[in-house]
Amino acid sequence: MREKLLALLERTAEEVSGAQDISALEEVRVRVLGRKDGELTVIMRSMGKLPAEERPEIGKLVNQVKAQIEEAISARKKALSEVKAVEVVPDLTLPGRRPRVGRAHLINRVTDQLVDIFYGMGFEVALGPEVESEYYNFECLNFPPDHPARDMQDTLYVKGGGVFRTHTSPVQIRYMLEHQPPIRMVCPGRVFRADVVDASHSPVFHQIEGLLVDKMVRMSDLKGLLAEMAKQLYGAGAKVNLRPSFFPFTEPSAEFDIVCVNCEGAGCSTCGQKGRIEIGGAGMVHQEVFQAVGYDKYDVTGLAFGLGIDRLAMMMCKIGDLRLLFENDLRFLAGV
Amino acid sequence: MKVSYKWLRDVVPFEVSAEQLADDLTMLGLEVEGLEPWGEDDHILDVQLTPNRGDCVSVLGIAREISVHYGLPMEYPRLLQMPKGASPKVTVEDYDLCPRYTGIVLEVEKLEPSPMWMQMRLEACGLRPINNIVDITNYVLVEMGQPLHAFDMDMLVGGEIIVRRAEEGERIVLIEERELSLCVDDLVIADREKPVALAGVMGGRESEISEKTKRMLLEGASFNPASVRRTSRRYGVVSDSSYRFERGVGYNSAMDGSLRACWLLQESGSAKVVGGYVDLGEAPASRTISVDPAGMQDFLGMELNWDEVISKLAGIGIPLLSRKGDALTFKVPDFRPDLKDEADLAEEVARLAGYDEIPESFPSGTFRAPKHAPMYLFQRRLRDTLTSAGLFETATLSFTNHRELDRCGYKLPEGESLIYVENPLSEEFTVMRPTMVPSMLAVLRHNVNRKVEDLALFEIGNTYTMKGEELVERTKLIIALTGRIVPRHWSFPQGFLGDTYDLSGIIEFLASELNLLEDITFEGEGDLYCRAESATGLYIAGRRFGSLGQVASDVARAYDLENPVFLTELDIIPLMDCAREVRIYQPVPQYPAVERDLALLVDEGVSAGEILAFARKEGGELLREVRLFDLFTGKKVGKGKKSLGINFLYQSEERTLTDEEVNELHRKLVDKLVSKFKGRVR
Repeated sequence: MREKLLALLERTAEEVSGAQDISALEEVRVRVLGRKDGELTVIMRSMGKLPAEERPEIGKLVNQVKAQIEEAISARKKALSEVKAVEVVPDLTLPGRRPRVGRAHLINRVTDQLVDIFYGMGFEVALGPEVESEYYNFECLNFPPDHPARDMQDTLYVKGGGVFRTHTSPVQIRYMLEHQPPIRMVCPGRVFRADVVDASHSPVFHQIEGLLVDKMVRMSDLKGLLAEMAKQLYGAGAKVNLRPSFFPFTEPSAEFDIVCVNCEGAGCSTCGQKGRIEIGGAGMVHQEVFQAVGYDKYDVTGLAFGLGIDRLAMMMCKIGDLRLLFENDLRFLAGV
Repeated sequence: MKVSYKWLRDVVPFEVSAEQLADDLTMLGLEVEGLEPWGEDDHILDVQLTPNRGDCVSVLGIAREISVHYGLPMEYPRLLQMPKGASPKVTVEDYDLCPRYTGIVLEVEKLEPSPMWMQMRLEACGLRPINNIVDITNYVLVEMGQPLHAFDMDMLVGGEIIVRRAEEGERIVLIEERELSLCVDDLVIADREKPVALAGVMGGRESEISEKTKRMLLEGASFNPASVRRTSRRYGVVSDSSYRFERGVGYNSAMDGSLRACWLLQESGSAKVVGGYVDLGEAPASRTISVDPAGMQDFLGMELNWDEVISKLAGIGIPLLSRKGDALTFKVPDFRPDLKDEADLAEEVARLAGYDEIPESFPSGTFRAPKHAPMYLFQRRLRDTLTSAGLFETATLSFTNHRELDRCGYKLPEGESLIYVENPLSEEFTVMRPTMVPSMLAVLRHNVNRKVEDLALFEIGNTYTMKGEELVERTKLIIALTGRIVPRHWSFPQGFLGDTYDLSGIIEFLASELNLLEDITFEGEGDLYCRAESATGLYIAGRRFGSLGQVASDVARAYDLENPVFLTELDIIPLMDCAREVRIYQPVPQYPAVERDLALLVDEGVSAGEILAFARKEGGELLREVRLFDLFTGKKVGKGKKSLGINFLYQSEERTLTDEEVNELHRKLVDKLVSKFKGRVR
């Protein structure tokens, strides 16, 4: 028995030091120390058959052998893992393997950003068709027929009737027809104009409009709301500026600008020396519009605003040419 | 409208620079789009007027705003006294289209170029000087916003004027030499025989002022804005006159304008009034707007100094008529047809106070929890999922044309037709796209031509068709792959070219993320732009919602694409309808699994999907997973055969399975597979 144990110890020690990797070492461990039929385990199990006087001595030896084997294994394990660690010292000047993740189009990311800003102020998104009737696109919005206001938007017409919506305002009309006040909604989407493609025009572009109807909505609320949007877009220092303007569907009407964040209004190349960046139009909802959707029976006022997403995106990312947005060069898509 | 800085300063004695004036006008709502130096000491302001401000299409109109803004007086131009004597013969047949018509006859004393100062002013405002008489009518047009017209009296048959609708097909040759054939909707100024001017739009050539003119009839009128606009657009004739009439010219200015021109004509010795005047029409009833001051303050959200408000409104021609209790009643001048109700006046009040003075407040009122449209949320979810799968999103225009649709072999769905643009801007954009395939292929071409060849792109957008009378807008998702799906890397220099399985894998991933993996199947025929043998339809809950496949080589070649292109286009509504928000928790297994591998040799024609589905169905409840881990054909397995390596995972939720029981289960399943698919275990 004694010889058997010493031989096992010797052979195992050789095998342990000869193991070239962790799994080979593990193989040795299982074969010798395995709980079920490891060689040493079998020997230990057979100790009961020994004469009683031999048991203490052999028992002691067994424990010693087991301890030595375990120690050898753990030493070898440590050595093996150290060797391994040395082998894989990375050269971090080599490019890593990056996860492959795509990107949503800039226009949609800016849209979502604006939606989220207004969502935080209680506005929900509504959508509507891109091909509209003249009724929803113009008449409900107080564009009288044969009025120069119709020239404000060069319209693309559908053969056989209908228009490609020139703004997302018809969505506001549809929404009001389906909902009672109070209302807080935004409508992002594609709009169409009869414009030839160039650096700042496209027959297709994107807008987001917003509408708030409630008791006692004030024009100062419009200013506050837009100021909040500007702050969330451009930081706490951003300021909005309203200028009188005209839209058939609002009265009073305003253009709204953000005071140029770059030059703080002094005029620079970012704002084309204007000191302000024109963002969109806004105003208090015209009574004619309320009449068209049957809201004149409520004692409410409303504010509305709209802005061009493409232009905003271009300004945010300093993109000089609108065409880049629709060309879809991968280097552009991945780069902004 | 272009206006001279110096001219404005001659009317209102302000001191500010042209730049400052431009800024101030912009803040008043008269946006100055351009400012250019003119001559030695003048500037031209290009004022971009909104369509409601017809009253400001003149020097005096703009000056009125400036005078109130700076609190300075303005100088009104001098007019001739109403002349007395025999009046010219004028008949107005349609007062709806011509609410007022005035005429004064003058004798021409000289016809020559205007004095330099007048030519300068006209040119500064964008008008070409012609002769002293025409220039004076144009001068008044710019100065007061009243278009005038001078007729050669001796060229008018019968020496009289009839304002009437044109007869169908009646002809006129305009000053600019175009000949028009008119219709009954056009209003004309006619003599006894024929039209001599297109009312409010342009005069006729025959009766224009020339060297031979001895007597002239000066017309100062007001015409119906919508009618002038229709006629002007019908013939594509836009003039300084039609521009102003479209925007509304006040009733009163018709006579004032004429008298101003007469004063200038006499003063310059160009012409002399002979006889009296004619003035036909009825002044419109004067309009008023009542204002509740407290209500207006609430509406604007600002405190107002009402003394100042009243004085400023009076300055722009809106005097206070009466004060009853709290209510203020203002008179609306005839040159402000845009002012109709209290909100219109609120804009004037806010504008004159300065929009800058409006404070910022936050809407109070009712707050309801917002809930986005499901379609918006779903598109956002799709976008998040697809970008996380490594795809980039594109945005292409919504138009296409027949050539593009033919090029990719597009076939309209049964019973549907295309939607055409009535007024397309180019041949490229004549049709609303019924599919996004051409625009996506064009995007691939754009990139590949620039040596960007590894592309994984998607777009979510609307497509359009006509179904009978009904317009159908479908929101679709298109995905395209070409080139490498795994990019080149120093550790893997060849990268990995994508194929159909990358595309079907993306669909499977998408389906899994939408929690409807079980509901989607690849079956049936693909679309025509794909190779028939590689294409398949996509079904969800028994409904076809798109297709997937490799783009046919002739289509790919037509777009200069050499590498294989894999494309899927699908309707997103069925996906949205079936998608599930949450997954129900499936308990994580507590007991160990037992695996078995099988190498099954079958005929090449047997589909792998069928075998796997059969195994899942027949495996019993302890069979937890069936996965294909190997697939090969070739010499080793024999012609017409393929070998599938399938991994089976058995697991119980209640206990540890024994080898014996798994062996038994597995053997039975293998037997069934072998007999069902006439296979052989390798």
